Amino acid sequence: MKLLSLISSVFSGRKKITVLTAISVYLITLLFNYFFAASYDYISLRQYLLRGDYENKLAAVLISSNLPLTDEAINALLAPVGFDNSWEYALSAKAGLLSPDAPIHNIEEYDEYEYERMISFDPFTGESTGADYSADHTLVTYTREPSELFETSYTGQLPDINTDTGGMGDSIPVAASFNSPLNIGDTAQYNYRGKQISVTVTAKYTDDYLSIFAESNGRAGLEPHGSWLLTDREIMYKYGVEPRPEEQEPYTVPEGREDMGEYYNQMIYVTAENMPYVEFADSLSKLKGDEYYTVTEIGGAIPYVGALDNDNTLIINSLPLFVLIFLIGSVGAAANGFLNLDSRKKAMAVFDICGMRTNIAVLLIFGCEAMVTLTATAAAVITAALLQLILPVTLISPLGGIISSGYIVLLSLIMAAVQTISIEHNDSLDVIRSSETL
Amino acid sequence: MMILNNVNKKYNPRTDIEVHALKDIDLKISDGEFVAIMGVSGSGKSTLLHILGCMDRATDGEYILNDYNVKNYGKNALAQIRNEEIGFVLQSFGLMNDKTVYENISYPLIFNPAVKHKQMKSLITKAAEDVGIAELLHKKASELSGGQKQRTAIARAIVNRPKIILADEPTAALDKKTAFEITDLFRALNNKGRTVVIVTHDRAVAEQCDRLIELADGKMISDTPIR
Repeated sequence: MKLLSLISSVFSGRKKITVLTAISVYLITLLFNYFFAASYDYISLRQYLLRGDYENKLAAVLISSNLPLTDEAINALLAPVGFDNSWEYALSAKAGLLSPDAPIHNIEEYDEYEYERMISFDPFTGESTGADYSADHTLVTYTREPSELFETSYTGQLPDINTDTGGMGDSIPVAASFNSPLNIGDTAQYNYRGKQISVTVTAKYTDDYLSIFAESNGRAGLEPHGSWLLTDREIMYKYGVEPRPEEQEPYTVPEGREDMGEYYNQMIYVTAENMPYVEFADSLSKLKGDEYYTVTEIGGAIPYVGALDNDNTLIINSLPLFVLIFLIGSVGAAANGFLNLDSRKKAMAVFDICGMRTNIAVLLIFGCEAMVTLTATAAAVITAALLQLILPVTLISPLGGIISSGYIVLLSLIMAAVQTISIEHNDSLDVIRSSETL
Repeated sequence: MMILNNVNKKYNPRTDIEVHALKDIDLKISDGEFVAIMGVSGSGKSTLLHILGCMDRATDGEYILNDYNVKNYGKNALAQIRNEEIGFVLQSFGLMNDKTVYENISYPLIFNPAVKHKQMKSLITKAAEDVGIAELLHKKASELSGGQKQRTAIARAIVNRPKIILADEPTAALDKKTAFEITDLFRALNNKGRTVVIVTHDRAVAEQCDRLIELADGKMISDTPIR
C-alpha cells in the first residue's frame, strides 16, 4: 500500500507522456508477438534443417523414365556436369502398403504396377490418386539410413544389408516412423505392388523429424503425411520384394490402358564435398536429361534451406522493418523515464528529505518504469491471446510472450538504473529549490 | 543536541576549483533552542543546513547528533535519522502540487517502518490540526495560498514527531503578515520542546528567535542570544 502510494506520487509527472509510452509499448509488444509467432515455425524449421551434416552441398535430383534407372544410366546422365560417381540414392518412397483386408475395387482391370500406382500416391504432389482408401504405411527405402544424415534417433536394430541374415520369402525387417501404430517386434502382412509381403519391425524412430523432413521436401517425391516403414534398399532386392534396376523391364503402356507418364522415378542426392557452393550450384544448373530420361532438380540442398527461405520471403523481407519498429518502440518505452525525469527528480528529492532509504528509491524508480511497461505488455499479450481465440491466425506463442515480457523488464531495469544514478548525484534541496522557480 | 566540532566543508577538494564553504565551525545547539542563522549569499548557510540535516557530510571535523557521531552512519542510517529525528521546511515549500494536503503530509510516515498504514490517518490529522489546516486535507496543494502551503510543509515536517526542525528561508516567499504567522508557528512548535533552526535573510524573522548565529565567508562570526 505504502509503495503504491509513492508510485502514484511519482506519476504526478506528465501523464500524457506516460499514456503515449504505454500505447507505444502495447503496440510494439503486439507486433513483436505476431512476428515471433509467424516466424517461429520458419526459424525453428530452418534450424532443424541446418543440423544435417551435408550443409549446403547436397542436391536432391529426381530422374524419371520408362527405362529402368540403373547406376550406369544415372552416371551417364551426370557425367556431362562432372557428378558421375558423386551421388547416392536418396530416401525413396516406393509405394503404399495395404492391409490384406482393405476393399479392392476392379483389381482385374489393372496390371499390378498400374494398380499400385493408382492406389498409393502421386510422387510429385504426394496426393492419393483414385483412392477409395489410403495406404496403411508408405514403404521407404534408404541407402544411407536417415539418422546418419540428420539428427533423428531411434531404438532397436536398424535394417542393414551388412548384418541381415534373412532372404527370399522371409519377413522383411523394417524401421517404423515415430507416428506408426506398429512397435518393435510387431509383424504385419500387407499388399505391396500386387503381392503379399510380411514385415517385422526391428527399430522405431523416437522423434518426429522424418515427418518434418517430408513436409519440407513435399516435392521430393516423399509422402508428406502418413506413417513410414523404412528398410535398406538392398534388403528389398535380397528378399525378392522387387527386382534390381538391372533386372527390370522397360515399361510400355498396355493396350487400352492409360499412359501413366514416366514410370520409373528415383530421387538421388548429388554431392560435392570439396567444391565451392557457387560452382556446385552452377554445375547443377547445367544438368539435363536426354531423350529417354527426364532430370528435374528438386532442391539445391538437403537440408534445402533455400526452398524454405523462398517460401518465407515476406518474413525475411519484413525483418529490417520489424527491427526498426522494435528499436523505435524501445525508445518509446524509455521515453517515459527520460521525459518525466525532471518531475521524478523533484519527487525523489522530496522523498529524500522525508527520509527515504536508497533501496526504496531504487524500488520506486523501477516500479514506476515497470508499472507502465509491464501493464502495457500484459495488455498486449492478453489482446493477442483473445484475438487468437477469435481469428484463425497465430498471434502469440508462450515463448514470444516470455521473450517480449523479459525484454521489457530488462529495459525497465536499465532505465531504472540510469535514473537512479542520475538522481543519486543530485542535491535534494537544490533540486526542490530549482524546480519551484522554473 | 547538535554539536559541530571544528567542521570544515570543501567542495572539489585538492583541485583548482576547490571551494571552502565552511571553515572551522564549532557550534552547539541544545535541545529546545530556537536558533536563527543569518548571512549573505555564499556565506555557508545552506552548507551548514545540509550538514545539520544529514544531507551532506563534513570534509573535516565531526558532527555529533544526539550523542552519535554522524560520520559512523551509512546512507540508509542517515535517511532514517532524517525521517525520525529531523523535519525540513523549505523556502519553496517542496510540495507535490497535484497531490492533496493529506498525501503531502503522509510521506515521512510512509518511510517510517514503525508506522502502520492504519495509523497514518490519525497522525496526519493531528499534524494538520497543530498547524491549523485540518479543513484543507482534501485540497490539492496547487489550490493553496503561500501561507497554507508552508503550513502544509510544516505539518509534513512534524508528522513523525521529530525533535528537530530545520527551516531554510521559510518565509522568503511569503508576504509580511503571513511570514509572521509562520514564524509564530515555529515559536509554538519550539514551545512544545522542539529544537528549531531557521536559516534566514530576514532580520525581522531572526529577531523572533532566541539566538542568532551569523556566518560570513564560511566562518561563524557571531553567536549571540537575542532573548
